[in-house]
Amino acid sequence: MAEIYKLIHPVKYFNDYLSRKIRPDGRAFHEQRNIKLNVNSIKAADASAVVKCGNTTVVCGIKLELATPKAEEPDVGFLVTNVELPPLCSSKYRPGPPTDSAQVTSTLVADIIANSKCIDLKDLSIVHDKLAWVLYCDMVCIDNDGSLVDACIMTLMASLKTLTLPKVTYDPETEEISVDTSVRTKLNVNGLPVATSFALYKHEQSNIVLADPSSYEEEMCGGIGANLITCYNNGILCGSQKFGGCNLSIECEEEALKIAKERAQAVEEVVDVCIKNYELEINK
Amino acid sequence: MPGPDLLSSQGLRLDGRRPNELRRIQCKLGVFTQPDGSAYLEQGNTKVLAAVYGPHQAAKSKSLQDSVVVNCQYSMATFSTGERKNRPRGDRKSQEMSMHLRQALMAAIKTELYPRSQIDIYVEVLQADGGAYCTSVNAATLALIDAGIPIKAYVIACTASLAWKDGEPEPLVDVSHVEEAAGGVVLTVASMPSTGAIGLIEMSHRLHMDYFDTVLSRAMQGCKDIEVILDKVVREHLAEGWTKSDDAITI
Repeated sequence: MAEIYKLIHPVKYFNDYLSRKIRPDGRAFHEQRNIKLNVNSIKAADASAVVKCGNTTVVCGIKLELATPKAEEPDVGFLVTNVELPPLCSSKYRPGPPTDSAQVTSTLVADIIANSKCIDLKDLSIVHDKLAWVLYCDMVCIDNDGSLVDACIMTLMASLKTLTLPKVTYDPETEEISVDTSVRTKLNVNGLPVATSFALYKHEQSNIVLADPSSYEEEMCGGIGANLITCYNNGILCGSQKFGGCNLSIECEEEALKIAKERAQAVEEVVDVCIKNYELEINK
Repeated sequence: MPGPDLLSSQGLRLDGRRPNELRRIQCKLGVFTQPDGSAYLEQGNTKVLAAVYGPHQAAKSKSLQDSVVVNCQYSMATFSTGERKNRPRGDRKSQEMSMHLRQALMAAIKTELYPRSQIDIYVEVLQADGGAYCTSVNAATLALIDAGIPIKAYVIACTASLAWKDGEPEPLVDVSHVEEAAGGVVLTVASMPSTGAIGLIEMSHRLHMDYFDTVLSRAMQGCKDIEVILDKVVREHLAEGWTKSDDAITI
């Protein structure tokens, strides 16, 4: 019966739930979905992680490559991030070139990582003006059920935290490069940026903030771009985006920032525990 | 024509398997909520996800009056192979794989049941360690079953190769990446083991006619073995589903 009601009166259905201070999936307005994280599940990649926030599932794999640094920045390596939304992840996507939303998400993730300064690109340099690491970080969304950026950042950070770089020796005279995979050093990661998405909905003259929205809620609140995405690293705000959708009031913004800060700590704990367990396992 | 050394003196393969032994198979049906049917399948280190959307209304230009349009897309994650892939899909190899996938699955789907409709089958290879095509076909079959689309029989794909032991030919089933890269013959068969029909057959490298039958029969035996395993999983999955949804039927 509820399914039919949802189809005939989509807006009224959603409003009925909200007026009873509950969301259609049974959560309270500020409640997050469960997070499941697993690292190093793909052996073909140099580092990898799978994260599940509710139903949203993202796989991240990092591949290492060597390259010559740019002439204007001879001491800097490369961090290339890319988010993929294959048609597999939702019925909204069709086969073909990357959709607009995939490209927007890609740049958003790249911006957050650059702004949070969690990776010093100088760490990726090997030999001045000759050799540097390229980190290809590919995130593939295999189930898109809202709050995609949160999941992408989380899986990317978990992979980066487990990444180890093999030792490279470079002979300047012969220009010979030799890679020793048995000696590996951990990549320096400064803090752990955590992104949190919020959907905003205007309901009976009041604005409602929905934390960690599902794709259905995102759609009701004006599409994926209308999310308010805030990002914290080490308790410092390092990014806040909102494109279009419902208007954002100052009170809502403050409310959202408070929730995001709390969530950042919770997510940090999840990632740390997961990596600690993984390290215990490999050292056994 | 002695091929590369694929068998040890004890008659074991590079990864320690016997010649007629499959890699470990692990699978799960209904892994996602968004698609109508989905499956995750692991054969050894090859890991594949498959999702099925449909049957739904087909685009006007594509729709057929008497049968369903099957649309397949095979894609490999950039981090799935040893060398980074630049394009996950759309390159020549992926296009070919999509086509082969479609051909194998069309042989089993009862296409006449859904005129003017379309079924989308999306396959994502997360890690490739030999036999990515076979694993994709098997995963797609499971996803079709999960979506409740009528098929005539299980379509199962399996590879086989040929090695030499003491001068005698010894066919190998379910070839891994190292054996593929060693340069021996690789025969891929997509078949419906319960009817004995072959939907697709493909062979790389050259092979003497005399040995073709032994390799083919080993691949077919591999298909039969895989079918037994997958059938068991499907039955278990369905049994679980019935007990769970019992209380949900209210109308």
